[in-house]
This record gives sequence, structure tokens and C-alpha cells, in this order.
Amino acid sequence: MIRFLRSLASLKLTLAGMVGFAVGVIVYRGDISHTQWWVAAPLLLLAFNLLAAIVTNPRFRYQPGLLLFHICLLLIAGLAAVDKLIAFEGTVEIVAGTAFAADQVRHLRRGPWHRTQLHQVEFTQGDLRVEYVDGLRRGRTSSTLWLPRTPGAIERIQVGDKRPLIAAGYRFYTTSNKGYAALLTWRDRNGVALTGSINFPSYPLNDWKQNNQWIMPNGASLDISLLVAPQAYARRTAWTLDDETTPGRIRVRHAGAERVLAPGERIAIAGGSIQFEEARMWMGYRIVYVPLLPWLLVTALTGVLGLTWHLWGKFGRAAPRAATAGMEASPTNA
Amino acid sequence: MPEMTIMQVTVTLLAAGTLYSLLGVWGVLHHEYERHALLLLGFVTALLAVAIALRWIRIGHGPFVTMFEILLSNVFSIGLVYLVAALWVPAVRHGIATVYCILLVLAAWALAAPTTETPLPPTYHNAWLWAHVTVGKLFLGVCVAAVGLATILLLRLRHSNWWCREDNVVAADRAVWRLMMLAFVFHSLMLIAGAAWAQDAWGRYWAWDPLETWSLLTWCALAITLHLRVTFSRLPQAAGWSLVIGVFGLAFLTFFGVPFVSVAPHKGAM
Ligand code: HEM
Repeated sequence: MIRFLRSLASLKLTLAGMVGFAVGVIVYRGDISHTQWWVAAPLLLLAFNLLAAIVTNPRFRYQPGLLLFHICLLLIAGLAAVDKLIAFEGTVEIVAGTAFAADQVRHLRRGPWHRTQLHQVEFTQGDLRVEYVDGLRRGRTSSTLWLPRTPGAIERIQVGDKRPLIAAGYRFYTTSNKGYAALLTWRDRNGVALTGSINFPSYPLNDWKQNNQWIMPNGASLDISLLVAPQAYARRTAWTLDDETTPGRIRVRHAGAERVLAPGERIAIAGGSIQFEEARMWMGYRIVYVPLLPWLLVTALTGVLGLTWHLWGKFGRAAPRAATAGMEASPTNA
Repeated sequence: MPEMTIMQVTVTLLAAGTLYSLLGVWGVLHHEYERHALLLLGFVTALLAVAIALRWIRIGHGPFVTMFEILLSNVFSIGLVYLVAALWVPAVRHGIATVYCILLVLAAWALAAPTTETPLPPTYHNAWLWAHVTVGKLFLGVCVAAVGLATILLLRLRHSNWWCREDNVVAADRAVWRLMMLAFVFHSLMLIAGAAWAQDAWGRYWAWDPLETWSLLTWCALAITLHLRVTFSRLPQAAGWSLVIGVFGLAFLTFFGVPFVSVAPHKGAM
């Protein structure tokens, strides 16, 4: 057994594993068309190799800093693996004045061990404000959220840029994806009303195509465009995207006819009617679940501390003196 | 723009320093050349500090955004870190000619880069930015100090009458490896601070963007180089020094090459 461990602990194997990892990184680069095994397999090899070395290599015993560093490397690999298994990543677009709904979340990545708790998250989107420093260069983003607190109480918080909303372990980050939405009410023949919203593409990135389709409850589709002033924002000057700048009218196209609607106006369509309530803003959030993040940070910093300790012990005070001695003996410096 | 004028003076002084220290390595000059070259570098570094301060005051943020700013601040920080290393470990001074060459390339490049003033992206208002940039600059500075020595040591294999005696080589070789270990510590910290910043700024700590990938590869190359030396006790010195130069080549590409080929993430895009 010990013999096996000793050969598994070979430093040559470490080198092979490291080279394999570097090659894996070049091939993989997060590109999902390549499998993660390109990175995972060499890491697994390195983990076993290191585990065996920690048990059998005497050098770790009398170099505690080095040992600490390598143990932290192992822990980071372990934490990163668990993170992959339990992590969640998704996106959601929420219209101002509406509540977050877990079923609207688009899942991007979901670890096999992730138990979703998104339905526990409750908040309502408030006002949005995005500052542009000049033309299309984005400055600060701030988004107001209303959170239910102790029965009856509602708390107002501000998120944006580096400040996410943290709820049920999920982090909601504002993104550059945001824009306008039209609030529409559909009424059928019997007067039964249904209000919903339709989001136009991200603004100002797609200011030239602020249109979308709405599938009516009866299955027919309706082309809707938001009427944005062609130069709503001036290039090269500072401006703000917020409620105040929200355009007021939409154009509806259906069966070859088109109508422009102002807030409150309605048109009769396919046995019912559509009323344009108003235009509002929406914010796109990126949702991540990475509960091990603080542990990863602490482990990584502890590892570096171990390495610094090793470096200190190994080279410490003796270093400059040795070097100076060499200098002094030099004929060129005599 | 005053910093442009200072940059022009800097390039002239660095060119003079390069020529002078190369003559010194060649053995043409009096042995004091290293001290003179260090003094000149001290002066250049102080000039650059003034240039950075003037620009900072005028545009209201540090030199973090455009290529001109990044090159300007790197010439300054590499110069400063090298000076500290050379004062701390005298053997490091033998590498000054290479350091001058590297600084001259970066400074001349800065002269050619556009000096446009760009506002600080929103994601840059973050304490992690400072940590990340500081340790990154320490890494590069320490790496340059090691590479300066490694290059001269390699050259000396061909021209053994150059600059120092055999016992100096031992001290210099030891200094190269010490500096590389220190560089590894700073590089590790740079990755950690970068990941923490990315989590704050973009909601992800690692997304394999080109800069992240290439800096991870630089980190691997450093680990491989350090491990090679531990694994093969009879690794020829020349191979070790060449590897050190190789690691620096990779780091140089990561720092100054990748920002050209990649877009978005690290520039705090729309
Ligand atoms: C990719 C992960 C790894 C990194 C970044 C790394 C880094 C390092 C560093 C920086 C040193 C110090 C070198 C020096 O003192 O000059 C070292 C030493 C060492 N490493 Fe690793 N290492 C890694 C993985 C491993 C693995 C998998 C093993 C398993 C065998 C291992 C075994 C050792 C040993 C035995 C030393 C002893 C050094 C001495 O004798 O001073 N390392 N490593």
C-alpha cells in the first residue's frame, strides 16, 4: 500500500498533471462544446497525487507552510467541485411595479445537487435609474426593490453594480440588460380582463428595433413597436435612463392595419380589445447561487499565507546577506 | 498634455540608460555603471510619478482604463519594484540592462498609444480593483527583476568574462528563484483579488474570459517551472533561466497582448 502511495505521490506525475491541466485549460476555456473533463481529469489526477504526497513525502512534514499551501490547493479543488454540483445560474427580467416570479427565471446552469429555493424569494421591482456618462458609456445603475419584512412591513432597498440583492442564498445582480416594456390589458367579449406586459429588446443597445410580438389569448399575434424618439439620448453627453425618459406611445400592427396608441387608449381586435396602459422599464437580473464563495476566498487566502510562510522560512533573512557576500567578492565591484 | 511631454523625456532617458547599461554589461564601462543606471532609473520613476499624479488630478481617476494609462503606470510600477528589489538584494542589480530594455519597449509603446481620457467604468468603483491592480503590478515588477537577472546569467554562459565572477552567479541564481517564488505569491493574490472583483462587478468569479484564461496559464507555467526545479535536482541552470524568461513572456502577453484581442469583460463594457 505504502509502495503504491509512494509511486502515486511521484513529483513527475505532478508535472504531468500540471501540463495536462494547462493543456486542458487551453482546450476548454469555458467553451461548452468541449467537455469539462479536459480540466477535471488532470485536476483529479493532481488531487490524488497530492493526497498521496501529503501522506508519504517527508518534505511536507518539515515545511509546514508548504504543507498548508498544498492542503489549501486540495481544498480549493474540492470546494470548486462541490460548487459546480450545487451551483445555480439564471436570468430574469422584471418589469417595474411587478413582483419577482420564480417561474419566469431562465435557467442557464444548474448543478445536479441544486435544490431550488427560488420560490422563497419575494420582492417587487421599484424604480430604475441608469446613468450614462457619455453617449453609450454606462455609468452607475441603481434599482429600487421592495421587500416584505415582518408581517405588514415593507423594506425599500437599493441594489446595482457591485451591490446584489441576497435572498434565500441567491444573489441577484443588475445587468446591462434592461429596457422598456408595454403594459397591456386584453378584454374578451364578456369583459373579462387580463393584464400583462411585453418587454422590448434591451435599450439603448437595440434602440433601432424596439418591437416585439404579443400572442393574444386567442392565439393570434400582434406586432407592437415602442415609439422612441430617434435620438432620445445624445451621443457624447451625459444622460439618464429612468422613468422620466420612458416613451409614451406604441404602434400596434394587426392584419395589415396599424394604430398608434397613447396610454389608456384601446383598439378592438379579434373579438376583444387591447388597451395600452403605459410603458414602464424592466431590469434584467443575473441570478447566481454560490454559497461556498466565502469559503473559497478564505481557503485561497490561507493558501497564499502558507506559501508566504514557506518563502519566509526558506529564504528569510539569509537571502540578502548571501547575495551581498557574492557581490562583495566580485572583481567588478571591488 | 504634460504627461505626454514627461513620457517623451522618459523614453529619451530610458534609451540612454539602456545604451549605458548594455555597454556596462559588455565590460566597456567602469564597474560603477550599475549604480549610475539605478540612480537614473530612480529619477525616471519619480518623473513618472509626477506624470501619473498630474493626469490623475486632471481626469479624476487613476491610470486603470486606457492602454496609455496602463503602460504609463506599469513603467512606473516596474521601475519602482525593481528599485526596491535591487536595494534589498544587491545581486538583482546585475540585471539592470534587461530591465531598461523592457521599460524602454513599454514606454515607447505608451508614446504611440492614444491618450484619450475615458471615464471610469462603473465596475471600477471597487476596493478589489485596488487590491487586484496592486498585486498584479507587484507580480510583474518582481518577475521583471527575476528576468533581468536570468537573461544576464544566460548571456554570461556564452561570455564568461562579462560582469561578474562565478560566486556572483550563485547569489544571482538564488535571487532569480526567490523572486520567482515571490512572483508566484503575488500572482496567486492577483487571481484571488481578480475573482473577488469579478464576483462583485459581474456576478461571477470565474468565466474563462481571455484575460482570466491566460493569467491562469501564466500561473500554471510558474507552478510548473518551480516544480521542475524541485523535481529534477540536476535541472541545468540554463534550462531554469530560460523557463523563467518563458514565464515572463507569457505574463507579458497576458498583461499587454490579451487586452488587444479580447473585448468586453475586463473593460467594463456596456
Ligand atoms: C497545481 C497545483 C500546485 C501548485 C501551484 C504547486 C506549487 C508549489 C510551489 C510554489 C512549491 C514551492 C517550490 C519551492 O519551494 O521552490 C511547491 C513545492 C512542492 N510541491 Fe507543489 N504545487 C502544486 C501541486 C503539487 C502536487 C499535486 C504535489 C504532489 C506531489 C506537490 C508536491 C510538492 C512538493 C513535495 C514540494 C516540495 C518542495 C520542496 O522540497 O521545497 N505539489 N509546490
